Amino acid sequence: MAKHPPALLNPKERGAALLLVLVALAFLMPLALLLSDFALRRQRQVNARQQNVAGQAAVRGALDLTMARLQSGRIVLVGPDQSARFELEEPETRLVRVRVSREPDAVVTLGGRVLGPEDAAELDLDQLGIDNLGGAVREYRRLEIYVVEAESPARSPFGAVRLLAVVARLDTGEVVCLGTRYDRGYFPLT
Amino acid sequence: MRAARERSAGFTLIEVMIVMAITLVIGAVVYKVTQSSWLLYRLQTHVTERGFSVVHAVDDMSVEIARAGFGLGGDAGALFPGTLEGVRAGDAITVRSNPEGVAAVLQEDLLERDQLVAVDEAALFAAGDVVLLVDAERTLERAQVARVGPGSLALRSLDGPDGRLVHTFLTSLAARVLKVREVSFFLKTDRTGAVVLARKTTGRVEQILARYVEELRFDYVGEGGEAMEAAAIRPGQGPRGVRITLRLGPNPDLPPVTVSPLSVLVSLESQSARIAFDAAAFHTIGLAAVIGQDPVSGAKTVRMHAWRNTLPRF
Repeated sequence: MAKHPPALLNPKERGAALLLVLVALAFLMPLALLLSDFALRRQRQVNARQQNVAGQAAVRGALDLTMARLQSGRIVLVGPDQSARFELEEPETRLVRVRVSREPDAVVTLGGRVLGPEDAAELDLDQLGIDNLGGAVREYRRLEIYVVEAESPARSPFGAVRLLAVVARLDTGEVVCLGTRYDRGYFPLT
Repeated sequence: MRAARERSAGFTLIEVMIVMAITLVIGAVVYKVTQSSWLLYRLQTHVTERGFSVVHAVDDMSVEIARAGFGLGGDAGALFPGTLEGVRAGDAITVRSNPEGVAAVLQEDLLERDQLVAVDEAALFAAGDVVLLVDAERTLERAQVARVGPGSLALRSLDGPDGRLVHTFLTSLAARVLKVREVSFFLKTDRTGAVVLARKTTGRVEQILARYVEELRFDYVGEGGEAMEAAAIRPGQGPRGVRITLRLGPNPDLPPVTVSPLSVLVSLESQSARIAFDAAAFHTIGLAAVIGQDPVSGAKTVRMHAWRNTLPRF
């Protein structure tokens, strides 16, 4: 007749052993959580700065690309109510959403005034004058005005980075940037 | 026999003492571990707080510096290497922008304070607005709108004594008025004696970005990436980038820690363009634009202003 191996614990002592294990876990668990929290916090801190700087550079790059596309004719918007959207995905999966919309054209004068479409309707925009050196000088220049909005999504703990820029396309085809602004926060493209 | 054994069952004195001794040793170990964990927690929380303070302060300064000149134009002194009061300092910076794009051209010469001068777009201004007076010779003066009349403004200098103008602004030099938002970052000592990094924005109360600052430095980078002397910065001749270096010390009330400094190079954007009216680009105007967004509807509005540049001198 086979004998049962001796029990490690008396059946009456099993509850005490369980209690001991629970007490040990209760002591160790907060410590483990605390240490993992430290590691995550420091990691987030380092990552946040890198993501933030990368986001700003990414939207700036998107503006340069948009200006190049406007200059080369890859983006053509024929009226003020038109817009185009595209997305850029960088190798490290940093998504940048870009929206380009055309605003009403503007006319600038040699005297340093900005005229809207209504004010410029009656003008002869090809009018030339002669300066005191005998050179031909234009009186007006027409500009196509575009708004470029580039957004890089939020990466905790920093919000999204958005760039808003006003870009002008001259009648010679040259594209220039007239103003740029960066914002932080949540800015869905509308 | 069995009943007699159960009645006499129990711990001997030596067993109880051994158990108590083991319990005391375990208790002492647990106490030490808890004490060390608490110290570690305070240290790490301190390090993390200092680290985040550096990151957020530098980030805040970076965003403002990147906006320098927005809506102003290159000749309007978008960046000043010093305090809002006009004192040059290596540990302070003032950046200017015109986010609303409010600008007007003088229609009469401005010669003295409180003189009502005709300007176009006067209705865009309000009494109390801080403005910049600029002309084609890059003369620059800070002023405040004292009064708004129909098609005219009265101004008081913020640079001269008792509001008196330091310079005159002539229509022959295409003088113009620009509403300005100034943001200044500088060091100061607070009531507790701690050195703090403060931010002052036009029309807002002063804000403390970080405490226990050990070092704040702004270094300027020129067009070719070379170091640029702060003394060389003036209207029309600004840097291409600004390197911000911020080093915070530990909070003296918390366990001592080492805080890593942070140094970031911020590129300044070109916020205006020069439009030529002839082939040789002798006749040009400056053009700047801003874009605003309605916080409720989300609608965006573009506002532009232009200014005449003087003819190049041969």
